[in-house]
Amino acid sequence: MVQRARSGDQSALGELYDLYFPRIYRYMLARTGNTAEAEDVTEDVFIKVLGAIGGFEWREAPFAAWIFRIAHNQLISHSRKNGARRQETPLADTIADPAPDPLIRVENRLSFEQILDVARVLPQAQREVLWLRFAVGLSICDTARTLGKQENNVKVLQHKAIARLQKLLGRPELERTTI
Amino acid sequence: MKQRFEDVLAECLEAVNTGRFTIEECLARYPHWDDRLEPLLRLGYQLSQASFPEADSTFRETARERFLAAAQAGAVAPQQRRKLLPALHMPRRWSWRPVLSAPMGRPVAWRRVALTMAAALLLGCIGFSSFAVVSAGDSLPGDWQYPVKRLTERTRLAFTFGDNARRDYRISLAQERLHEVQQLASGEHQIDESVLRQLVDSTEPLVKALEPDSVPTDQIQRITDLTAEQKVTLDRVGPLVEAKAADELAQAKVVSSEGYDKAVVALAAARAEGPEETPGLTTPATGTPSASAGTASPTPGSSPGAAASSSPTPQAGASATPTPQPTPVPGAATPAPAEPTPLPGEPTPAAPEPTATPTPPERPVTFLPDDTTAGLKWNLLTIGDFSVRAPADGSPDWAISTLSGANGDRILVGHFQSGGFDASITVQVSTGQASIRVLVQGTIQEVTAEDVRTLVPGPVADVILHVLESIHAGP
Repeated sequence: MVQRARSGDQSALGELYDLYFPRIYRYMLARTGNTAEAEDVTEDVFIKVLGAIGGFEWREAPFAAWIFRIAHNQLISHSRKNGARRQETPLADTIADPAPDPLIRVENRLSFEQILDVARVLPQAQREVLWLRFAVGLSICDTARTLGKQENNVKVLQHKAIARLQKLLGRPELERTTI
Repeated sequence: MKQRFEDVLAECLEAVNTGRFTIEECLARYPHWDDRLEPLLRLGYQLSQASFPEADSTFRETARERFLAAAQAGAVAPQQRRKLLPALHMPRRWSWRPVLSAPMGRPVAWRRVALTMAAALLLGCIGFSSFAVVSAGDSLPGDWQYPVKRLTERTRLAFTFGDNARRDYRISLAQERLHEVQQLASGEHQIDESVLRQLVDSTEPLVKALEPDSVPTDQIQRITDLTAEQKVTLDRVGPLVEAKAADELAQAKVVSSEGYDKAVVALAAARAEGPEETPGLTTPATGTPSASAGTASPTPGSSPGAAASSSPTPQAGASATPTPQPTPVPGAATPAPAEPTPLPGEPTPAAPEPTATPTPPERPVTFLPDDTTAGLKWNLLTIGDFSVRAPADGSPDWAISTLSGANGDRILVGHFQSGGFDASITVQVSTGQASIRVLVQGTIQEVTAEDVRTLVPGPVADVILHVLESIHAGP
């Protein structure tokens, strides 16, 4: 599919779009916390992909890592451009529990808003790993390639991020799910 | 070697999230990490199962169309074009050359033919891409060139440096989105949610960042005019908005309305602080319509950056009685309490360049009681040495606007029908050059004066031609 897309095959480009759009949009939404911005940057990413796909080489990186590298860079570029008017609200280290009963919360699936709220207090490097690993579903290897980091570094950041989230969510005993 | 906890956690998470192991199986493999590993593993699993909002399906589909259209229109990398021309990059180790060259006895012939064909194809690609970019300028949402237009805008924005210049261009882009809505309405095309969302997305950031102390007055003026025209336009295009886009229409109205209110306040504050306009920038020409006046609208053919920096004087539907005496057009474009010019006796701020701020010419409006062309009342609009006749207030379905842009002022006289202009004439103040646009079979087309009578109804043609004949430019 990627090979066909590289040669300008419309159906292959469409397939690539369908395959990666939801994940890239999810990543952008997680990183920006804003639907309009997420849409803008996601669209920019695909335009960038059009411009760069001719230079894609399998030997350099898997396609997922390659496309998320573009997404990551586009996001950085977007943040720089909009840095002046961006207002990130620092949250306190403790998050108010919206659920009346901790048990109710434990039984519910984590919502995006819940994670987004809590993740704001994480350092950026941990947040980046968190979203790429769990919102996008990249492997450790692809996450490392996307961020230009060592795999060991990504593992450490992942551990720190989850441990911090666990503390912030205040859920030492999580739902005992049998999978 | 002792295994690190981070490695174990990463390994287990990959295994659990890919379904290779259950959490319990992972814990059983690392009993000495059990207590520490279990909560993190369960949370990691929960994170991977968390519900994330999906993109709006309409956006997803329209963005997909734009993506594919951009690909088709040539928004591909040089590398990709290169790949499309394998003859240019045929590896030497390939065996084509000996096979083909042996019987021909001229090893270079095939390569020469291939190169010639490739060059022709490349020129074709470049030609088509150039055509696509040039012709995309007037395209509307839904046109095949529209993605190219947006791409061009993004590229230009990326190469626009400096806060002021970028903001200026963003305002122009918002004006262009508004212009597109008006064009669609003129052609009686349906207006979908993506069009309205683009309008909101282009306007909202401008309004949010609108602060009198950080945005030049002329830009606040443009934002004021923009939002005022949005309000008018959005009120008029309602019947053409798809039912499923009702929310987007409501949101667009809120953004334009709140934006207008904020801009008016900012403009008043900026003017109260004194005339600190950026040297060389255009001073607002005439009064902006209040949103309820409902007459200002940029010309359908206006280019980005040229539209709507000011607005009408004698307006259709305006309530003021025509004055037989020359009346200077108010300088304040909006209900701003302060004037941009310093009051007598006030100290004039020291200007670094004494000649930088030009004095705007007088803009009197004279009522012409003897002129009853097409059964309307007429005014003479004068700007310096330029003058033109235009329908006075009380002329139903006619709007008159003064547009300031990079190419100088223009006067627009437009006839409204079904939420948009079906005929308009735009006159360049500096040259007197006129452009007539009429709705022909659903699309706005530029036509010559000779064609007007055959393309538009008699009274409308009478007005357009009367405006055209009355143009006086230069001393």
